[in-house]
Amino acid sequence: MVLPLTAAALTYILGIAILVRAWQGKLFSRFSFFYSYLIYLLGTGVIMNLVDFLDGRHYPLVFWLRFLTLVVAEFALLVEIGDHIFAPYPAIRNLGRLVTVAMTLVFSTVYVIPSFYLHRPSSVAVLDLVMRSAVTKCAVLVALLVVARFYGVRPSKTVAGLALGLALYLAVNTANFALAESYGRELYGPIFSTIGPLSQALCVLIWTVALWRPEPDMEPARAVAAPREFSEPLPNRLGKFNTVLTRLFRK
Amino acid sequence: MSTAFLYSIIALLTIAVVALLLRRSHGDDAPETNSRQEFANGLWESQGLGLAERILDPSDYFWLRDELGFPALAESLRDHRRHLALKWLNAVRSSFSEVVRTPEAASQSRTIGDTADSWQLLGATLRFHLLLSYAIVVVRFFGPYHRLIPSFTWMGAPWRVLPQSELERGSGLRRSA
Repeated sequence: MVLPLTAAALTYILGIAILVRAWQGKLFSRFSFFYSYLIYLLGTGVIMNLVDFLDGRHYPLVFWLRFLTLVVAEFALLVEIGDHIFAPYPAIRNLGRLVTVAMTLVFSTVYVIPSFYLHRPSSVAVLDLVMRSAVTKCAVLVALLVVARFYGVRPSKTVAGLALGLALYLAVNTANFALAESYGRELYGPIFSTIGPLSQALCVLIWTVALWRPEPDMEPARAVAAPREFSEPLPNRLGKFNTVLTRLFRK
Repeated sequence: MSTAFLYSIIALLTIAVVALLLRRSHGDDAPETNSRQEFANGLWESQGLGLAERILDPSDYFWLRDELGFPALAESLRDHRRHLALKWLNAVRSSFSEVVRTPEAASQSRTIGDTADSWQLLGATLRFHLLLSYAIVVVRFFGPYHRLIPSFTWMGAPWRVLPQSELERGSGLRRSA
């Protein structure tokens, strides 16, 4: 009981510290989805504890409502991470969105939605749904980083920290919910309720470190060093590359 | 039980892969080597394109094999050309990635804030990569003299006209280059 409470308290302290730093550094507009998510996480956490304190009967309902909305909001967080990875490069600026939407659609179709048709108790179905959505988000995150690697694009340390924190939280969620589904509430319940807050605290700790001194999406030195001999506008150059390659191979 | 084990493995793998990708992403600060940059610099000029056309031109191969009667030597030339073609295609990929990685401030395209334009640019980038990947696969597995766009000659009379016109257009292109 002490460990989950300590983890929850740590999450609140670090979360508030992140928000204060963002206020000082005027960062709210730069990471709008992220800060909205964090404010929602902390705000609804307070409401949830108040409900528990005032009327414990409604606590499970509030808990699951909050958790499921957070599960959906994490997709927006992935979109923001993708945007920040590719934003400085006009030719692939929307690649993060494309990867996120495409991967989400594919995983939803072949992996998440089919689980709705399985007959089982609703508690198990909810655990399974959360676990599958966590796996989907892990896959999206890995795909974003693989694509960034393919194009030789380096996320800033701030964005890398956001991605690492989220990956850790999602991965622990995946394992935690899978174990809860397999072993049941009686056997795994106490561990489940400890691991959840701990993973959240660890995630927020990584975010705090990443956002304490936020870096620009692209290092200024790299942005200045890039021009080289390019004089043509980028759309013309991309068009020329495509035309030349197509003509060359139409032999 | 086995499901829980499987998902635990997936969770561990996710953390490891993400950490590895982020670590490696930050480690590759070293610029490209000079020789590679020099090779990539002239790729899109007439000299570089002329070189590519010569690499992909099968006339030397047919001349060695059919007119001089050295099939083994012709095969050796073909293998060598395949290696050169792959090297050229990889250089093209590097050169294109350099263009893609041009940051907004440097590419003088501050006007490309419009979403529709951004999607068009992304489309052009993905199209190029698709074409290039296809070309690399064809050259690697079928050699540098394989037709990248199918000729359809095997389909019969109505299609026999097509390769000739394509050939004429291709030879015209070579002359202009």
